[in-house]
Amino acid sequence: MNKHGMILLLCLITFSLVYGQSRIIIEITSSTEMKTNAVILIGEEKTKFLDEFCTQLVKDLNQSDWLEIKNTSFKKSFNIQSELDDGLSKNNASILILCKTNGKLETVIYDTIEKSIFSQFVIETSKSPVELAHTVSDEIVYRLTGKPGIARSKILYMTKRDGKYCLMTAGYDGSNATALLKTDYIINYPRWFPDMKKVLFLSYRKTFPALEMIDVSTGEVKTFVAEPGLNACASFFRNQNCVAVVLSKSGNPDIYLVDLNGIILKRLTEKKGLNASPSVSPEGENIVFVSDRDGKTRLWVMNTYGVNARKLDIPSNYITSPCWSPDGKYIAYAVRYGTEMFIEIYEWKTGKRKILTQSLSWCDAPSWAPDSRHILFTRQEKFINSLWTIDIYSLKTRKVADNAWSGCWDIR
Amino acid sequence: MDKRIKVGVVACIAVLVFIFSGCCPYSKKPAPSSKIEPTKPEQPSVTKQPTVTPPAVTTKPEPGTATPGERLIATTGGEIPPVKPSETPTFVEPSEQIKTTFQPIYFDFDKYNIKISEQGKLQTLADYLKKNPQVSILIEGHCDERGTDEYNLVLGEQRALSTRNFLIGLGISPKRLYTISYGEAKPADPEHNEQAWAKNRRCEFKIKQ
Repeated sequence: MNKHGMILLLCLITFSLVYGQSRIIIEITSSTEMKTNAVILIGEEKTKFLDEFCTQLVKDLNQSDWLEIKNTSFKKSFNIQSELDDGLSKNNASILILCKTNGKLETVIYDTIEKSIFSQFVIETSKSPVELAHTVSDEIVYRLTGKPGIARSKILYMTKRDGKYCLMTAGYDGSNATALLKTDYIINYPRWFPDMKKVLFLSYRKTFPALEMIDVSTGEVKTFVAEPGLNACASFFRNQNCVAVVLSKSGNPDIYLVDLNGIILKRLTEKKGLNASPSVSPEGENIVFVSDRDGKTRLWVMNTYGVNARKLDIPSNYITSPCWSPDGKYIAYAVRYGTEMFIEIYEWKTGKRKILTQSLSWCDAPSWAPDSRHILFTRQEKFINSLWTIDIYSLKTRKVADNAWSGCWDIR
Repeated sequence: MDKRIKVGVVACIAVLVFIFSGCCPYSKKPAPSSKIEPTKPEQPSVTKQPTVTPPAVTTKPEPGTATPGERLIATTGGEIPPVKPSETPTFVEPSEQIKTTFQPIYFDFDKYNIKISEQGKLQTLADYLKKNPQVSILIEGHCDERGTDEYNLVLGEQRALSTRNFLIGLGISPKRLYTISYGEAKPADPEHNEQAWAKNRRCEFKIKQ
């Protein structure tokens, strides 16, 4: 082979390798809002069950903010090739979702551009149409993005009804809100246990503020930690059997590690001044927390041995309520700029910051969704609290509950 | 005497006179009257604790008063006495006769140091507690609504602890001082303006029954 032939062969090999590796079947990040168009085809006659299922599936996928459902249809018989053509040409949709029932629900996700199957899965249909739609939506989101969906996730929040403090649980959008606990005494700051079977919360049941837990299925309330002084601000480790809490038993509010039986394992901060609101990183390596050790209320990060504390470079003298995203990329927090309080996110690796609630009034208490894309937060308008979600890419907000505060999203 | 020896002796005397006269032109020692404060590590203003000099104690402390050790601890944050699991103490408002002794003390926004303007109130309270060693009190820490909710809970606790430490420094036994924080949950004034917020950043006092 001559020299030119060798060069040509090398170019061909290089081209085939590059082309083969860079080919993207569905580009989910096609717009600045990280959203792509899709259509849904139910391959059956319309029934009440399927209609309810389809309505909820559209809502769930739209509120995932990864997809925008442009059209839905029910057809017992259809030609998939013409449906794919129509989906692309009429609705500008690059994804077609086909759902068929045959004892079980079969879902096929098509790429309308490549005219090929992207993914498919089968789910038992014994569930209610709403539950089934949640499951299908989360599976679609996971198969398209590799991230967990939010449709099956649950939130916790506080409200007050008839003079009683109510610890509420609800769907991700505030639907099916039910009271887990109603009390005459103050309760606040609910947090899911990692197994989602119990909820930890601050309680004044025995006069002094203690951390108590309620079994979600039985409603049984037990004391978790009741050291002298304040017991508050819990943040669970996801993969270890412990929780970071704030105790003031030493005469100073400090951060401690406590096991799941409420036994103190280690004191992590011993600086003078106030240490509060720990949030554990998803890998359990670092803890972000609030401290005024340098005279201002700011965010600090230490490792889980309680050493190497360093301040985050954020230009405000009042930064509180940190919450680490489940994927570890961001820390969300409440920050005061001027006289307003905003929700802002801080990119852990780069230190880049982005205000999310620029146009909203006073905001507090961010809590991440399992998809690391949405944040639940408290918004105060004319001194009345309500609970909202925000998409960190599009900044689209949705109200979840009125007269509500201290939201907590589950992080399964 | 050899001339060289004479010159050497004169030179030595001159050097000795020069040294003992203390007027070395290269001396950089400050004059005895100059005031140079020792350098202290910078402390944030919010963590400043009251400096109360404990009196010299030569006998056993009075019942209900702080030991010298407890007063020392008060400046560094002493352990909070445990409440027995079986015990749920009840605290009540002070009666009308002694209400002026139990005046609330107020704080600046996002601060928990005891202001000079409030220290007299605590001195009055400490005097009362010294005269009534059977009385134990609850110190309630409160905040205004402008901070964030969970942080305010911890800030209220820190206000109660600062107040407790101040009273220990004034000689009150820590065993008689309970603390609790309500954050922003129990405002004294429900209005939403600067005057109301100033009233809500406070510590209140209740008496143990």
